[in-house]
Amino acid sequence: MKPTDLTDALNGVDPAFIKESEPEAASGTQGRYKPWARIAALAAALAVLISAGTVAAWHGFRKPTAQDETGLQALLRPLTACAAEYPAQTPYPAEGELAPQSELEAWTKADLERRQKYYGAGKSLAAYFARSLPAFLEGSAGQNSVCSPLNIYFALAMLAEISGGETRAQVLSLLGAPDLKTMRTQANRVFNANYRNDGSAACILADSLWLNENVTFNRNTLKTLAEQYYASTYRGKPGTEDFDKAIRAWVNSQTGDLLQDVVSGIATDELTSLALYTTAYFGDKWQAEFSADETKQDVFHGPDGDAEAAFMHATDLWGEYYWGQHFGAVKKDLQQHGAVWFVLPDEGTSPEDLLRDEEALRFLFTGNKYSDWQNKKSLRVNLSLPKFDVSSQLSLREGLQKLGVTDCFNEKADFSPLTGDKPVAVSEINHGARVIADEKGVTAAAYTEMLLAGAAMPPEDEMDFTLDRPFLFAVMSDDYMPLFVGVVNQP
Amino acid sequence: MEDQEILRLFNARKEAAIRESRRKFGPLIRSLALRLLGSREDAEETENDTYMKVWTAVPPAQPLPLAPYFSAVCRRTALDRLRARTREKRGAGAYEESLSELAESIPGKDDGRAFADSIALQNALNDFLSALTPEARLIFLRRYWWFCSVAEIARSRGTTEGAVKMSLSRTRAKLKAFLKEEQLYETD
Repeated sequence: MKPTDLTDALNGVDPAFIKESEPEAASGTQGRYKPWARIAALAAALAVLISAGTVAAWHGFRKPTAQDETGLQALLRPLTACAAEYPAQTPYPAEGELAPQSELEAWTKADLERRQKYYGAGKSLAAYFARSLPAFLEGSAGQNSVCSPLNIYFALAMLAEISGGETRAQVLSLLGAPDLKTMRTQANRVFNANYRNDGSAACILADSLWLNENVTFNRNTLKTLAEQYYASTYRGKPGTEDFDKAIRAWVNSQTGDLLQDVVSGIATDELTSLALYTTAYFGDKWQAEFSADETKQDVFHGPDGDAEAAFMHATDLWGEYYWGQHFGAVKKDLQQHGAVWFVLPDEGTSPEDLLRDEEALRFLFTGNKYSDWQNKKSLRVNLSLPKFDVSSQLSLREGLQKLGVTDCFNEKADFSPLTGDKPVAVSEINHGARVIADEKGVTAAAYTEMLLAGAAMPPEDEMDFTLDRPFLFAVMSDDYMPLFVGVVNQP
Repeated sequence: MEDQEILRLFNARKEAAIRESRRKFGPLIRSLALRLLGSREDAEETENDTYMKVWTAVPPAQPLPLAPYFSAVCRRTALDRLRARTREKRGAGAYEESLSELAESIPGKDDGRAFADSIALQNALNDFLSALTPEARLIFLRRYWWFCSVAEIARSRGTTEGAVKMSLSRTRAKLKAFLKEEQLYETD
């Protein structure tokens, strides 16, 4: 036996002995460590419109606030038929201030309770997301495209709530819900799992229904919309400036004025019987910042040729590298609300190909990828990501029809739970979204050649992941809900 | 942050797990690595390697409390680094001293062969440590687990270096007798 045997064996002694003998930490050993708390921003917003109108666009990262709250209320008050109350949330102590410990503790406790209460709320929706996403994003080959699967889900859930008969059955079938009651409960849980407007980050979901004042309506249905979907209903004269102005003000207030350009084009006409708007605003900081000083111009190999792009660079990203037959993927954590996943197709494969690839879709909507996805390796990743600002306006009508939701668009439409009046049909479903990923810091993309070959395992404990050609991204909540999914062909 | 919450971050694969671990355990494991390696740069690298190893191991491992776990991973990592370095003729004081002292606890001749059954030895050491007085155990582990100097131990315990040396000497003698009784040594 050697003394080193004893030294080694001591490593396995009871942790309680280690704990009780723990020396006071040397205070002089701190210093020279890479800071972890960095900044960057990612924000998104969108609006969905049924029956009339257009949607979304935007700029920058801001927490949405109504610029003129008094003016907004003055516009909405006379039109309000049924107002929803949003869930109360414990406020997050303001950054930059020395908040009492009790405030932070109260927020932490409330946040934990909320997570626990609604954990797994959207688990059964994975199949719906995987099925519907390709239908919504297809047809934009070579272009950027983005949508919010979660937002579309709420629009469809409300559509099911206000429709009846086969019209409702088609929507429920698409959503994978056995009946309305199940879907209602699920939608409410999904809303609460994701809604966040407490000052720590923003994931603000908002729904509203706009009715022609000539249409009679079932107050119980409006009450259900308010209680289960937090949707307010407004009633007025479509085609008038006051009505359109109120809609625009409402959408702008819910999206922090980020969609102003497109929202300014919203206009109903006197034939509009109902319009449904759902919005989602999302903003959070990166868990670990990019350093702005190291952002460098480099080449992005787009479908229409090479172009310069500003690449952000983050070294020592802790995590896993995942791979499939035709892609490699990593995630970058957000501070409060999940993470952004970056999925890079192999050379010769496009993001659009991945949206048709069963394995890639399964990967995207696998909840806990760490426990459930076999092809992974823990390592440190050096991420090079082009700053991007992608937006698109999509008509969901064709996609929904392909997915079997047809009756709501034609004379078979049944909206009897909402109104017994003349036939009402959905004329259009538009969806607009924009996602901006930027930094207030970054790193030069000392990028290496892509090494994301199909099923090959990365050999080292550290790798470069350089998104210098078209890629997919997905903003996923902690609960694995796809808040936004998009294709970046041109950053 | 509570250990449970840090563990949750590891399980959720959140980078914040590393940030919080660094905040909570960084000073402890840095000082351990520094004592062993004597080099701030090596200690930093050892600390980072420790986080990587814990990141890879948790889950499935669910160690609680976390401090002993981080410390044990760091100690093992630092020892490996030290031995690699020693092979390059760059020994470190605290480690060499501890080996020299522990040699007194080995029954029979040091034949230079590695002990075969490390698990049995670990179990025996736990039994041995359990039977010590809390103060003797603490001093022994501070010296041979945490690699603190005699002067450091004396200062933190409010006693003299002579008293610490005496305690260590007695414990090593007891350990030798214990290992002999347990027949945990190779007899040629």
